[in-house]
Amino acid sequence: MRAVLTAHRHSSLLVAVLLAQLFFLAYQIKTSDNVSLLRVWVVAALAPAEKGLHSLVDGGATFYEDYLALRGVRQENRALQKELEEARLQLQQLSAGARESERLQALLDLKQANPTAPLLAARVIGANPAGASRTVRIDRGEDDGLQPNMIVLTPDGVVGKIIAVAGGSAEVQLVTDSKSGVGVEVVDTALLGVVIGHGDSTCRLEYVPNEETVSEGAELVTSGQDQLFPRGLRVGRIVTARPDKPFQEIVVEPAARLSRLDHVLVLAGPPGSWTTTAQAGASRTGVSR
Amino acid sequence: MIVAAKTHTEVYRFRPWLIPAAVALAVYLQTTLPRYLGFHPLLALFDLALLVVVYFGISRRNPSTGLLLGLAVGVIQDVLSFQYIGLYGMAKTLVGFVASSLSGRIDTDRPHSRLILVFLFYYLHQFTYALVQRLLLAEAADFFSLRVLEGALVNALAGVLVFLLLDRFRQST
Repeated sequence: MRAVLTAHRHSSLLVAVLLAQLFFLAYQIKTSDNVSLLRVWVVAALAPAEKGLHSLVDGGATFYEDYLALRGVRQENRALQKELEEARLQLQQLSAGARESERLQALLDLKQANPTAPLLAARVIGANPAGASRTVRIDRGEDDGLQPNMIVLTPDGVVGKIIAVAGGSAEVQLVTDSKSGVGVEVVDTALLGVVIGHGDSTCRLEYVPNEETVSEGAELVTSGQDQLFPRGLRVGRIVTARPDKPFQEIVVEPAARLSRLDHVLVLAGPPGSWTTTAQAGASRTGVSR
Repeated sequence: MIVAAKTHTEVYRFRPWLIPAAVALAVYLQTTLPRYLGFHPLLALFDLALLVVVYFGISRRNPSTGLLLGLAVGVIQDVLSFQYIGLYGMAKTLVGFVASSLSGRIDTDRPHSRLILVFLFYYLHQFTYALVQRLLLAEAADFFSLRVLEGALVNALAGVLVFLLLDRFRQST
C-alpha cells in the first residue's frame, strides 16, 4: 500500500485533497430537512452495514432460541408426557375412589338414619343378565345370616330380593327380572299396583285400570301389601302410560341404578323389621312413604 | 501546434514572495474590480486566479505543488466570494494538478500553446465547477454554453498577456 502511494504520490495527494474538499462541502451544504449532506452520506453508507449486523444478531438469537436452546426439550417433553399420563391415571383412580366413597357414605347415611334396622352391607361380585333373567351375586351369604326373600336395596331405591343363598354369597333377583313382582303405590294418588320386571332395564306397572289417571314422572314406592317389601321404599318412576286391554300399559324406570350396582344393603331382619323403623326414620332419610 | 517537449525540461523558479503576491493580487482584483469598475459583462468572465494557478503550475511542473496552489487559491476565492468553501477549491485543485502534470510533456512557453492551454483549462475549470454544483447543490449549471465559450476565449487571450508579464519574474533553474 505504501509502495503504491509512493509510486503515485501526486495522484494520491490529488485524491486526498479532492476528497477532503468534498467532505467539507458536504458538511457545509444542508438538505431541505436542514441536515448536512455529510450526515446524509454517512447514514446512507452505514445503514447497510447496520442492517446486516442487526440481521446477523437477530438471526443468531433466533437460531439459538429455536434450535440450540431446544436441545433438551424433546427429553423434557417425554418426561412431562409420562408424568401427565401418571397424573391422569392417578386422577382416575382418585375419582373412582371418590365415587365409591360417595356411595358408601350414602349407604352409611341410610344405615345411620335407620339405626335399629338390621341392614347388612354387601358387595356385588357378579351379574347374570341371561335372557329375561336379571340377577346379581353378592358377597354375603348364609354365614352372614342371609336368607331367601330378604330385601336388597340401595340409597336410591329397591334393588330386589334374595332368591338363593350359599355359604358366603347370595343370588339377588333384581326388580327388572321377569319373575320379579313388587307391590307398589303411586305417591301422589295412592293408586295401588304391581311392578313386574320386563327382562330388560325397565319394569311394568300392572293392574292399573284404564279409567285411572296416571301421570308420567310419578314416583312409585312399595305399598307393603305383598308382605315382603316394607312400605315406603322407592321403587321407580313412571316413564310412559297409555291405555291398553285389559289394563293400562305403564313403563317404569327403576329408581336404583341397576346397571351400576357395586355396594348394596340387605335388610337382614324379617320383613316386618323394617316397617316400624322405616316409618320412624322415613322422615329422617327422605324415603318416600 | 503544440510542440513535443524538449529533451531538457525547464523548471522555473520564482522569488519566494512572488507566488503569494501574485495570488493575493489576482484574487483581490477578481473580487474587487467589479465593485469599482461596474459590473461589465466581460469583466465577469475574467478569472485571474485561474490564470495564476495555470501559470505557476506549468512553470513549476510539480503536480503536488500545482494542486496545492490550486487548492489555496480556490479556497481563498470561495471565502471572498461568500459561497461554500470547496466549490472553486475543487475546480482549481484539479486544474493545478493537470497543468503541472501536462507541462512536462507540452511546450508551454509559446504564446499559441498558452492560448490553447488556457482555453482548455478554463473549460476544465468550469466543467468541474458545474459538476459540483449539480451533484451537491442540485443547482442547474451548464457544462457547455455560449457563456462558457466566451469566458474561455477571454481568459485565453488575457492569459497570454498575463503570462508574458509574469515571465519577467521567473528564473531558470
